[in-house]
Amino acid sequence: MKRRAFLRFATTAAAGVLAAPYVQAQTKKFANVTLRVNGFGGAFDEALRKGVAGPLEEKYGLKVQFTAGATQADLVKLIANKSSPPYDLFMCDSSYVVELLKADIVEEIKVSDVPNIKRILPGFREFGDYGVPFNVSSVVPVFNSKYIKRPLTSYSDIARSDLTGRVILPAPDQIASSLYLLGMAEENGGSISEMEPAMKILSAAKPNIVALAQTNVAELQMFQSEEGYAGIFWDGRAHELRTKGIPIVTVFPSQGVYSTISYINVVKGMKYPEAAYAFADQLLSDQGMLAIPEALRYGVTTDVKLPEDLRRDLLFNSPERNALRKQIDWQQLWANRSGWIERVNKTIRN
Amino acid sequence: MRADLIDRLMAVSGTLIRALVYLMLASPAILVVLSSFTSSDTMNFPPMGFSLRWYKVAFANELFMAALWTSTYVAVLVAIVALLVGFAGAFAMNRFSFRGKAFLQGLAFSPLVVPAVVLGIGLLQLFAWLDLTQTMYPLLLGHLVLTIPYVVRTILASLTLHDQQLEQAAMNLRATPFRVIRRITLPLIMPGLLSASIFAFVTSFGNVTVSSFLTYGGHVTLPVQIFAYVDTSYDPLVAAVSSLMIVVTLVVILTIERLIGAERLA
Repeated sequence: MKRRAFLRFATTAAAGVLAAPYVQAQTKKFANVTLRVNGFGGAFDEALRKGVAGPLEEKYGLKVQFTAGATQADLVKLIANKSSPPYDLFMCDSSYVVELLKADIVEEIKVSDVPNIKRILPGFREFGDYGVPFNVSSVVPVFNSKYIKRPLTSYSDIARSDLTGRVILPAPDQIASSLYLLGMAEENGGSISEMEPAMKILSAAKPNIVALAQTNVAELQMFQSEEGYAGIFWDGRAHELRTKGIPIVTVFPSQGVYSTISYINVVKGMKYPEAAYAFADQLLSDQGMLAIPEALRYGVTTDVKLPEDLRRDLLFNSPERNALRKQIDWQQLWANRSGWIERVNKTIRN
Repeated sequence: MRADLIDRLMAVSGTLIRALVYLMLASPAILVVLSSFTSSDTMNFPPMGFSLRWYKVAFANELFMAALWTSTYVAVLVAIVALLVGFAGAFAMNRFSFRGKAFLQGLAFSPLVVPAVVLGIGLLQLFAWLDLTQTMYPLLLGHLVLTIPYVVRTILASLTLHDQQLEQAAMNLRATPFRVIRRITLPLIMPGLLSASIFAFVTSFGNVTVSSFLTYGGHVTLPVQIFAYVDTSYDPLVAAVSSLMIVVTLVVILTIERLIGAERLA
């Protein structure tokens, strides 16, 4: 080897060796960073681990720790620990975002920080620049087609006379209950501030109601053991029943569907905002967005192209259907909720 | 003759009622354990087929195993500390008259009347103020507060029922108070102490409400993990994990029974 060639080779090799750590640092941008996220538990967290946390760790070295718990308790923990928050990112449904904003504990997230925000469907980001919506869960009428031959078509159909002793509803203190009450009110000329029509429907449905399920699992079990043939349930849980061989049909009410959206929020004072934005961006990417629907068949919030099997199963699968998702004034709903619970209890239990 | 018949009828009906009560008490646990051996993907009763697949899944699930470990060591620690605190409190209440004794008794039993949610939020606020929420102390103290009424009650009953003349005799023979407690009192109330420790372990091990407010730094107790799991998933894995919980509880109780004998616990 000539001297000049040797020097060229040696210089290149030395530069490569020197640059390697820098290149490595670039590819593992968030190595040694762990984001703490409150989890919903079970298959939900598992789907996020696969579709969001896994790819982030591979790409940036970013670790994500999901801590399972009840959202209400996690929210209380977050509010109580403002000065040293137990989570970096807080995952919750629309109704809880109202509380987060009141407590002033979450940051705005701009499209300049999370480019995929521009892919969010119109009307699916309910709180301005706060929170990144990544999943839609809808409360819809459902029925067992083995026993109910005349399909339900609306929330108010639970009062139909052929359903005597066959209807299961979520208990009044569940958020699902507030949503179907709103549905029944608006289907019959009422509104969030005029719930009388909903109470009339509920009163008429009283002989039909066989149970008010305190938890999703309880309601799932009741449908599974065929204690009831019709009712109101979450779309994802209805799909779960179908996978267990129960012929539960999900109804898309023609006047509109009432849903809650799951958001990821960046907690004020957290140490790694850039890592949090990377998490949110991955969540809104095609891979992240499809993770929950693939596992649980809850809806998407972006313009992601749905594979055929998902398109068939999801409620919001076209621009026309997306337009039928009802906008909800969560602040007012939260303010009125306790009054509704009291009315439902009086109506059903008297 | 007539009296014999009535006696026999009473005995038979008593046995039937007892059997029914035991069945009612045990049936939830029995159903869960049986369901956990299903070979299908769905949790139902009677189970379809027989398989250990859900136990394999449970043992392979790091989240559940970590939560089981957290629950176990927290419950063991709580049982030990509750015994120490509970014995001291019960001994003072049983042996001495002092100002504020009624208040202390009321305080010891107050966690029974305060709703668990209120207790959880209260403790969370306290530890947030002390900046200790990311440590194990809130969970330990929360469970300790929950277990104290059971422990104090059980030990107090043992102290009341045992013969104090034996202690007086020992003191007459110039045994020091510490020696009397160590050599006379504690051995005599040992069944009560061990019953109290079982109460403390079981109360701590199965608690959901208070624990969900006081979990720390990614450490979650098993009941909280199960509770969160069933909110989004409902499969036989839950039954397998719940069965493991039952097994751990039974192992603790049986170990104590082996150590001192069931008849002494009664």
